[in-house]
Amino acid sequence: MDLDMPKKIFIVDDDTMLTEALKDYLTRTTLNEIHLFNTGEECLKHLAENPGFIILDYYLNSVQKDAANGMEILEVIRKHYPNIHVIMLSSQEHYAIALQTIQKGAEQYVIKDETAFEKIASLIRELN
Amino acid sequence: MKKSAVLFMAITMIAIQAFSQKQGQARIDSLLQQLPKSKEDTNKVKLLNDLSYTYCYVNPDEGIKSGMQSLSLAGKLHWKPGIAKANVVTGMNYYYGKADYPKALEYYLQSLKIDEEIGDKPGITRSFNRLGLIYYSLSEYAKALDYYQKALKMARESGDKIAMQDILYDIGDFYQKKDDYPNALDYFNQTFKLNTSLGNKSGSARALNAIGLVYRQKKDFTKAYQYYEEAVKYYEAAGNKHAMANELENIGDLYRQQAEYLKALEYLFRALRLQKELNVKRNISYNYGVIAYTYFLIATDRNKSTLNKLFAGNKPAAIRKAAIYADSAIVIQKELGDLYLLQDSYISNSICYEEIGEYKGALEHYKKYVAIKDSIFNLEKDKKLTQLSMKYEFDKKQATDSLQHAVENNMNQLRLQKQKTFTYAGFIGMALVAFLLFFVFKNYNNQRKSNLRLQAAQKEILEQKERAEQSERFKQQFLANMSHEIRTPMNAVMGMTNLLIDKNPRSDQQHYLEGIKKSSDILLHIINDILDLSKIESGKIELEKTDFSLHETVQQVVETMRHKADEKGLHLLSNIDYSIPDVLIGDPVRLNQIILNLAGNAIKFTEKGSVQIKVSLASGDSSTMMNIRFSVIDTGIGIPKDKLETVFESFKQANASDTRKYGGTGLGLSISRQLVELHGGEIKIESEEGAGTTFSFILNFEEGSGERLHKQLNAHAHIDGHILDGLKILIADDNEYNRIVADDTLRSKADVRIETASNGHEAIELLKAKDFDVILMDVQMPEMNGFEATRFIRTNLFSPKKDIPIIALTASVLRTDLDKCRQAGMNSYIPKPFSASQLILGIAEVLAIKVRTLENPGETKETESSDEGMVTNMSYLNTFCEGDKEKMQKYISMFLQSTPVLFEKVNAALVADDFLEVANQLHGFKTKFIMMGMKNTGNMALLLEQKCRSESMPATIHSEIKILLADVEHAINELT
Repeated sequence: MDLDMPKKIFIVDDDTMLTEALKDYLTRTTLNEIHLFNTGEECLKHLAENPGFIILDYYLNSVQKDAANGMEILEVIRKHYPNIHVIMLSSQEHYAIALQTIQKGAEQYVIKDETAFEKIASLIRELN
Repeated sequence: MKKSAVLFMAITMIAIQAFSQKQGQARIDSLLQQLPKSKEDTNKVKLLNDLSYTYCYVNPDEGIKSGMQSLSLAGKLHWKPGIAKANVVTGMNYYYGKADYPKALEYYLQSLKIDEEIGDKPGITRSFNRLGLIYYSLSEYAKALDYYQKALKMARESGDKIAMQDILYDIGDFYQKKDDYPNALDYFNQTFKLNTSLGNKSGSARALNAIGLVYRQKKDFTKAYQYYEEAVKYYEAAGNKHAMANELENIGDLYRQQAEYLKALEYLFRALRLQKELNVKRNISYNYGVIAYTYFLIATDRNKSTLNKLFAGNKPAAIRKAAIYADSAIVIQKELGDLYLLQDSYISNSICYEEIGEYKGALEHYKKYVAIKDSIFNLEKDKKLTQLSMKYEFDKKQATDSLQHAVENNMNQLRLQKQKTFTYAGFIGMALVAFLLFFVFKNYNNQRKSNLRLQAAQKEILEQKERAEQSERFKQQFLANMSHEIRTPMNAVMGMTNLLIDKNPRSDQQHYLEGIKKSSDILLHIINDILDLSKIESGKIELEKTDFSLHETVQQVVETMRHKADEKGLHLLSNIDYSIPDVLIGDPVRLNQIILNLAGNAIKFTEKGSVQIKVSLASGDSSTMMNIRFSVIDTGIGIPKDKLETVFESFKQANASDTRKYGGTGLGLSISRQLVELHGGEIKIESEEGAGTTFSFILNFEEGSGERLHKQLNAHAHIDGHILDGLKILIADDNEYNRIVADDTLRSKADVRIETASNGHEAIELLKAKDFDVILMDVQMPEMNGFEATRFIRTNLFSPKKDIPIIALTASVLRTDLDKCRQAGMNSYIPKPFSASQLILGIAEVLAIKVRTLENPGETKETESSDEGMVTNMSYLNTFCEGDKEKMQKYISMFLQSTPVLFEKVNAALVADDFLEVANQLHGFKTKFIMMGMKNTGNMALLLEQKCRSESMPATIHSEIKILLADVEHAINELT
């Protein structure tokens, strides 16, 4: 595998406007290839493509009630692909949830606010 | 170790309540079943009295209710024994259930009166005994003893031995509490003997236990054990297992105190076996706590003999054992909902875990302990406030009563004296002139005697008056101190919060700051309420006479309350009679306060419908003087007839539980009434339970002048801080935060030079060394306070420094304190917490600087160019898309496409009461709001989402969500 080649980024969020905006932002600020998914299950189907980063929303079931939530997806990813960096996205600043996600192996817990995109971009640049 | 011992001891201090709640409840149930079947006769009165008595420890509010029912029924039947008994049981509910001694006293006295009327000797005896008990509780010891002795005498005379032993016991108890051991022992011994002669084993045991306790207090432990053991035997013989268990626990407790842990455990476990047999959960849980504590002591005692014996020296094992028992206690206490014991158990467990280094467990239990402590604190605070106000009312009433009594007595005596002298004159004057001299002398002598008596009585009256006034002064002092102590730090909190809000915080920080601001506003409001009440009560409020607009005053109330009414979905209406001229002369601030309190109250207690503020002409022509009727009409829960009067009392709401449900201090109505009375009016209530309440009052106003009003208003426009530019200001305040607030506030508005001092000395030294234009001086400072410093400057410095204007900064608003400022030579004062314009105005005033207003207010500090009144703001999106209009349009249309779904889903969820779904929908929109620059809407969405997810959802959630949706609709209009 070509180590210099930037790895793919998966963005998983059921908020299409957010995924679109984040994709726009990351396209501009990083060289990575970006794929969008609206549910965690869809993302899991493509894990074999070996993405370098997965940006994962904490609440994935606000649109589809029966969809798995971010935490469940995170666990599956960790179990089968321990090398993927997972960045957790959440609307709320919850210390307990943040700790939980990091404990479960998330790289970072990012709050969706005005500075969220910037934080994600700089994280990816660091880990690339 | 010491700390933990104290905390553990708290457990053992709590008295064991022998009354089993469960048994009480069973009896209540059976009585409630019998009641409807019985006719309106004496039997029903008996049942009600019995019910009220049983409620005593279980639910005193209900107990009082049934006591009242019994009173009215027995009254209708003119059945005096029933009335007397109803008074007793109602009093008992107040005494034992609510600890409201003054109220209990009223009922007890009433029952005594009736017993005396019908000559019911046993009744009178018991009434005397109860009065002894109650006066003891009211700390009137002489009176208490007097009644006990009366009761004892009466019981002895009528041979009522049962009552006698009770009274003897109570007297013994009285002496014991007063640490008079010889007397206590004497009375308890008499109790024991009497009971033994009666063959009443439980009674004998009770006396023995009491004797044991006296010896225990005297530290004669050998004797204490003896009597306790003896008591156990008597209880056992009487078959009273309940009391026996308590006694065994008592002995165990004493052994534990003596560090004889093995013995202690032996007795505690014996008690536990009995308690388990009886299945009295409260006592079991309590005993578990004591056992836990004993194990803890075994583990931590320096003398390791018991630890070695029981646990082979393994300290953690002993502590684990303690934790197990504390845990068992917790399980039961949770079931019983006993907060007080639960609190102790949690802290005990926390200490146990800490002792063996299990810090995580310790922290967990500590957190639970703190949570429970908080809720207990709230409960206690409520209780204390009511008790304080009750005690105060009682003292006041007693003082005036005895005053009146003394005056009446003296008048009567004088009248009698005079009558006598006239009779003497008639007889003797006719008989012999020779006796005239004697008569004159006698008359003189009598006069002199009665004068002396009068003087003594007057002295007594004066003393009592003095005492009443002193208690009033204490209250004043307390309130003044409280106002200062709370308002000073509040000043810092509010000032700094405002400074932070001005410094462009992040949106999340803005939230927290708004929260702090709102809470401190409420706190200040409560403090001001309390201060207002004290000021009115002590006659310190004077009504202003100024021109004001009636319409505006009412509108102000409507504006202030609009939000609250909207939250509850209520219509808030105002209706002003057109024949009343708009400009009147009076005190708009107080009028606003009265209506605001009434309207606020109405909104609080109305769930649906409307609240209307109506102003109409009550009488008189609409020329110069007129009577105007103000009514606040609601469609709320109404007030029960018997509570109509009490709603005006301080700290009262119609139902005690209302405070928790509706909030508030219970002072608003009391203040309104006092303010109306100050105006010479009277508040009237009409109310129908369930249909609504109307508060109305009539005030007298004179027509004012619109021209004068206009001039006044202009003075209050926005003030330009730059009028102070170039001034040199010295701020002296011991509180660092207050200094910063004053400093920052002034600097942000004007170009001034400021130096600060932290006490009077420093201020004087600075003033000596440098030139200043004005000093802002805190009144209370260490070392040298503001008054002293001002006096020093005014007397010891040379002109022109001695004449420098000094403005007091004070948290006190009591007139006496402000007078002190003037007396010390200060020119003016600014109350804390102050606003920027208050500071500027205050300084401008003393320096005779002409005040200038800002042409365009609000222009001073506006960092973000927000479009006036717009919900959306494209600057973020513009930056994000780097000015690419096409991209911007893409996001805008994405936003617009997503909104119909939001409306549809949120509305559907609201119909289905599915708030989790609402939360999910709002959650998904947060980024969208940010991208559309809808900062406020985003914040609102975040808050609402949290509210929707929390278990305690506010009742207003529907209207809050509607407001948010309205914002989104605005946004759609702006974007299309």
